[in-house]
Amino acid sequence: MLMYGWMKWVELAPQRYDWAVTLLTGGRVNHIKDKIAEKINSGDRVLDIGCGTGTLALRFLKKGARVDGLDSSRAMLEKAGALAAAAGLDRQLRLVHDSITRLPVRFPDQQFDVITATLALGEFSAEYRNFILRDCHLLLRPGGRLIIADEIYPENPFARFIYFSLMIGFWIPQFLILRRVIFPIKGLSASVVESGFAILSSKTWPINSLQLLCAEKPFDHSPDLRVD
Amino acid sequence: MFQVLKDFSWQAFHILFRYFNFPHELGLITIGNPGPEAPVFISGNYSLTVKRLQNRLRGRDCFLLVANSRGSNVWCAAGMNEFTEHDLVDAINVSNLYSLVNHRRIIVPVYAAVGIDCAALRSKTGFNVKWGPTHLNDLDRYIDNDCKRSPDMYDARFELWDRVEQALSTSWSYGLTIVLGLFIWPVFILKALGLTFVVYLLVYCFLPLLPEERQWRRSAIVCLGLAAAMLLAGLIGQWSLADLLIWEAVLLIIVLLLVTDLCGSTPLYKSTIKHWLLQGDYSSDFSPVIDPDLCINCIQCILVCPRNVFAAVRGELKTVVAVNPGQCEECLACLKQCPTDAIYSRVGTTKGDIKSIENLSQLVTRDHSHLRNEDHWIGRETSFRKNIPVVLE
Repeated sequence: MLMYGWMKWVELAPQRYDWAVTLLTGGRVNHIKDKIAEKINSGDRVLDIGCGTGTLALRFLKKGARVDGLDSSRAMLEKAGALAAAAGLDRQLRLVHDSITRLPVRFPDQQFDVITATLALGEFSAEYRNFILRDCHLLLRPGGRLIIADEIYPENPFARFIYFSLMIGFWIPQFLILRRVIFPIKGLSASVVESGFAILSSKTWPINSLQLLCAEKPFDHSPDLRVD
Repeated sequence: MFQVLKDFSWQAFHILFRYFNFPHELGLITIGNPGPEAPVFISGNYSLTVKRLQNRLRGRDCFLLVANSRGSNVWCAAGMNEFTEHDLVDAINVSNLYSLVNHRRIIVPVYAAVGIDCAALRSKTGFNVKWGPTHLNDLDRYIDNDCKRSPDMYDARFELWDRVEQALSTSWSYGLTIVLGLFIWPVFILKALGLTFVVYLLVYCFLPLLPEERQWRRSAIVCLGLAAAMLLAGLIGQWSLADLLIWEAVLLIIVLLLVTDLCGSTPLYKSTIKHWLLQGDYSSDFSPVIDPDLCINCIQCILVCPRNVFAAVRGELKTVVAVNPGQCEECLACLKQCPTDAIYSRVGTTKGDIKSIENLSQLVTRDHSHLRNEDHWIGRETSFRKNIPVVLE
């Protein structure tokens, strides 16, 4: 019966997603989303990949940006649409239900001022991430910015020890709450640079391994790397 | 020797922690020297599955494409809308499968059918889905048979080793929930843990020999049988009356956990505790019935059903009918795959665990009163023709 009850509980994970992520990051994720929103200007055309329930997109809309949100979960997108509609800002929001590797099919080249991805790339392998980053490069205008917030593998051995000690302790609670274990990304900065971006800033916070990375597509860059 | 030990401990760990997700790295795994006509097998990224598939495919020339099922098994993930055509599109795009194979076919685990919109996958990638066998043990025969399923490869199976794994992982998970008690009552907790393992292993191992659950028959036999065995042990071991009562009570709790677990944690049944309490069996709420006016005879429901519920009618009328709706375990793969929404349910409720069918509540609550005549197909004899069950006229 315990198994049964537990399965019923984990089945409800999508509904718990927002508060669960807030809880598991100690509220840090909201702070990071505020920080990202500070970098958005009125009139910017922004693409939020893996936009989920649209909590970040809403912040951009409030700053006067035009936002495209892409997610593969229709349920999440419906929540995002409802959130924007409740704020009366849904006319500036376009939601796209599609796979994350179909960005060039769904959006024109060099149209976006900013592309954001928060906690969207962690579940992918390096190969996937490089693919997506190259697509982002294609879609950004020269001078456009790529802003990524995600859990990063700590390079410093001491930080790594602290991180994995905490991770073992939080492993079961995290799975119970979120129904998935998030593994930190290795070599994100290197992937971003390899994809043709110049890193503008990188910010980390003590204790947890969240990182906010801001990069730019240079004006005098080499040609776009993907030819499809 | 070291490698054998390492493999054994890896497998043992993953079997015990089966209820948790351990994601395998996503992407393409090349096995042998696959050419442009080599088969492409799709797997979710549940580590234990990927490892076992790799072992099973060793010596073959093929591609194994690991798509994102969020570290869970494909059945759970697909139902939860966490293993969909989007994950297959991503895997195909990132691996650039287009340039590796000349054909446009991927072999997908049939248990993923409840989550995958095959038409959307085809329109986005050009790849067609071909369903694989239900059980890993059939993979060799499947490949040797030119990647075609024989009739026995359609059905859900719960073989001895599957049952042992299930028993071990479930009792281990229960163990984890009471492990802190070791600091307070170490002997009692250890004995309770041991008893949990023994009860689960015994019942799961002998599951096919036990009678079917009808009016709580199986549960009662398990409960009375084990209680009698314990009484006998108590008499032989001269336990005190208090000890005997305590351990009989513990046994009753374990058996209650087990019989309610059987509502939904095997590949054979999907029921609810409410249904079990009220009806005393493990039947599902969902009871499919096909509208012959909507059915286009595409047989997708037959191809994805793991419980042999459907059969084709091959007389003047060419359609598909539900001959064994009582066997349905409510995986709802048929509902997901039916292109014309021809499948109705005789009961307007579902367990509620399937999130991958957007209009599910609308589909199952449709008025089916015009389909009463379809009940006469229930229980009709069938035989296999070209691997497809056909109603005997």
